[in-house]
Amino acid sequence: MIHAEHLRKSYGTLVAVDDVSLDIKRGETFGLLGPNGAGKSTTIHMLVGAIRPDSGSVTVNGASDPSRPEVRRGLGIAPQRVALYEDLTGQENLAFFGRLYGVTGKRLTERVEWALDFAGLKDRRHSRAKTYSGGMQRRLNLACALLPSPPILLCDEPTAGVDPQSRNHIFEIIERLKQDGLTVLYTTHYMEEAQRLCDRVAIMDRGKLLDCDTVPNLIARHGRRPVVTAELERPVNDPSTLPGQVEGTSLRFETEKPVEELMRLTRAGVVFKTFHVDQPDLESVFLTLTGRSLRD
Amino acid sequence: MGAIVTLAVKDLRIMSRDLLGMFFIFVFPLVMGLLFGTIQASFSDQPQEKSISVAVTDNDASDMSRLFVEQLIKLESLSIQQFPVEQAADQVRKGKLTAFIEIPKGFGETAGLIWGKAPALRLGVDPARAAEGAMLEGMIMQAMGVLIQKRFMNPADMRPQINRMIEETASDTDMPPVQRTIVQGLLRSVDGFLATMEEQVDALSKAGDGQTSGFGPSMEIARIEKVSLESAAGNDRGPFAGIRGRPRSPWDISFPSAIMWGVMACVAGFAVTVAKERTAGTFFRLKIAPITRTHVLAGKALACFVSVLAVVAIMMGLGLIIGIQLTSPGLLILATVCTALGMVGLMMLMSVIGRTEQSVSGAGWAIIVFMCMFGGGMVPLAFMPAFMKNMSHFSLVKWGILSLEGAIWRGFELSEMLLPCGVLIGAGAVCFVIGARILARVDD
Repeated sequence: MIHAEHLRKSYGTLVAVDDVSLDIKRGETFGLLGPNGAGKSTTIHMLVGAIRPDSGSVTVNGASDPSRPEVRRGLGIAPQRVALYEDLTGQENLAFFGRLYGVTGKRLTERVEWALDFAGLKDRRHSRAKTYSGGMQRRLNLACALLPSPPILLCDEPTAGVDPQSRNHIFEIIERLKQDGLTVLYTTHYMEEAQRLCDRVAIMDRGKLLDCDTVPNLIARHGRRPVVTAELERPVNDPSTLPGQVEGTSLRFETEKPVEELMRLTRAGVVFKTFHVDQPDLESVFLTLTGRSLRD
Repeated sequence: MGAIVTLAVKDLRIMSRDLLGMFFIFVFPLVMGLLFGTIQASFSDQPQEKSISVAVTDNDASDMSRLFVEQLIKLESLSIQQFPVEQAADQVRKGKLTAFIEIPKGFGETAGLIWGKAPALRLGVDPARAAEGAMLEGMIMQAMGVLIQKRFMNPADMRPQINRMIEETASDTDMPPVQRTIVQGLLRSVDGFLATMEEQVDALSKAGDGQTSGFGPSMEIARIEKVSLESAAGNDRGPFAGIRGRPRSPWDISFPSAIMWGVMACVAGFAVTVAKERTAGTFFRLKIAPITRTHVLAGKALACFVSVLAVVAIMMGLGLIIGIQLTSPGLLILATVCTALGMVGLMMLMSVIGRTEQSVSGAGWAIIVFMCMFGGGMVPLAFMPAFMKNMSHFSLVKWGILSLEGAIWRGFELSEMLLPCGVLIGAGAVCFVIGARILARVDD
């Protein structure tokens, strides 16, 4: 549905996006994961034709120029910054963006009602956007993108700076859209979001796309093994019989199968006071790929 | 077109909710117009307050001294009161009066005679009001001119004075003999001239023309015919004939300036909204919507255009209520449309002179004040020095005011409107293209 090949964009000596290729399929929720400044937003802007790439090509729904109005009509875009008219009410903002996308008349009324309900803003529909909380503005920002019911939704860091409650609300919205079969491109620097929402994730850093696959495959390829950290009831007589590092009653070891290994040790007479299994995640994938933490 | 209207309606709706902006667009210019109109009125059509208060002490109490006082009273700029000289001098010293005039005894004997030495009028002026004192001296000369005229209208009154002067000259031993001969010859010639004139007047009186005496009422130093501008221009058309070419109310001058203030405030407001859209991210959202950049710019331009039309319409409506008499409604529409087009261009250029709302707002208002200052928005161009008048050509405010005045009171023909309207449209187009290009460049 969205196909990009060898995209490159630089600003002076700064290479914002360097040879990025993507292929997003219909109905897929595709994540772009990377720290701030990785080039995620620039990539999205090139995908929607807001920025012209220095080189490379983009195809959206088979059309090679995403800046054409008929192509953009099929793209719902929720920018990273909340882009609303603060002096218009929530309802007026929705109606305005709906009209720009060619939605008029009765259908506009219906879609505005749907969007207000979807964003949980029915009670505040006549309040000016500047009176909304940060989370409400984020939801309205997303609702404006969804109002024309586009087949493709591009969300650029939709949870940046919102409270946990609004964040969960946005997750629920994305999951509902996913169920409805919408194609979603979702950028974030929170690996939990990518892991929870995305079918496939592309990891970006410093303008480069480092790898792209499903979350389990990425972890399998680049993540370390699960780590078990345990506290023993009493010190063992011979620490060499235990896997990993032993310091007094503390035990830490890596294993592909943590449950089986814990059961084996229990059968061998080791008594655990507590234990914790640290599963590998995208954070460890990013660490492996870049040598840095995602939150650095 | 639908997208353009949608964008324009959005901008107008946002503008209408900005109360401070609305104050600067409508209330502030109206206050300006009323204030300057009131000031203008005090200088023009309304009856003027007599500004120079003068005390007169008539110690002579002759016909000529009374005539002199009457002439002073007739002068509109003088407020004459009669006091004893001590009281008059005291009032001037306290600043309650501008000056006092003391008419000496014997004033009437020689006043109005252009030869001979008359007793001097005594004039006391408040030192803080020297300029008014100088004006007063001119008015005294004006009143004395009437006395001279009076003397010439009655030759019989002058002949005894001439004869007495001939006798005095004959007995003046200090005067050189040659000079004495010349002066006596001159005085005898005047006496002979007056004698002839007296005979002519007498003959005319006996013939029944009782109204004629001396040179008669037709004596004039210069003959002046006052003509109105419309008769000089040969214009005598339609219902407004005879009233064109001059302001008929003080608001005629102050309101075009006030309208331009409102228009400029409107322009500044829209320039700031462009900057605000850029900083708030909504411009990006418009950029990725299924519309072209032309739609976005046209929407903004349409909103600004409509706002300017509304400002002019509302201000003119108020102006008509308080007394503006419109000469040409058709030309006013033309002037309004051209002004709006010019200002839309200016708005686009102003919107890209800064990156933030604050910088655009600050620079925008600086441009507005500059344009109004040099364009006649603060002080009418007529009162400006030559270099400022030359600089005013670069101010769209000047051309806007000129086009509005052309329709309101200058009585411009359509051909005369072409210059201001052409400048407004041309400058607006240039500004718009430059602004739009800069906007496109910084945005990409």
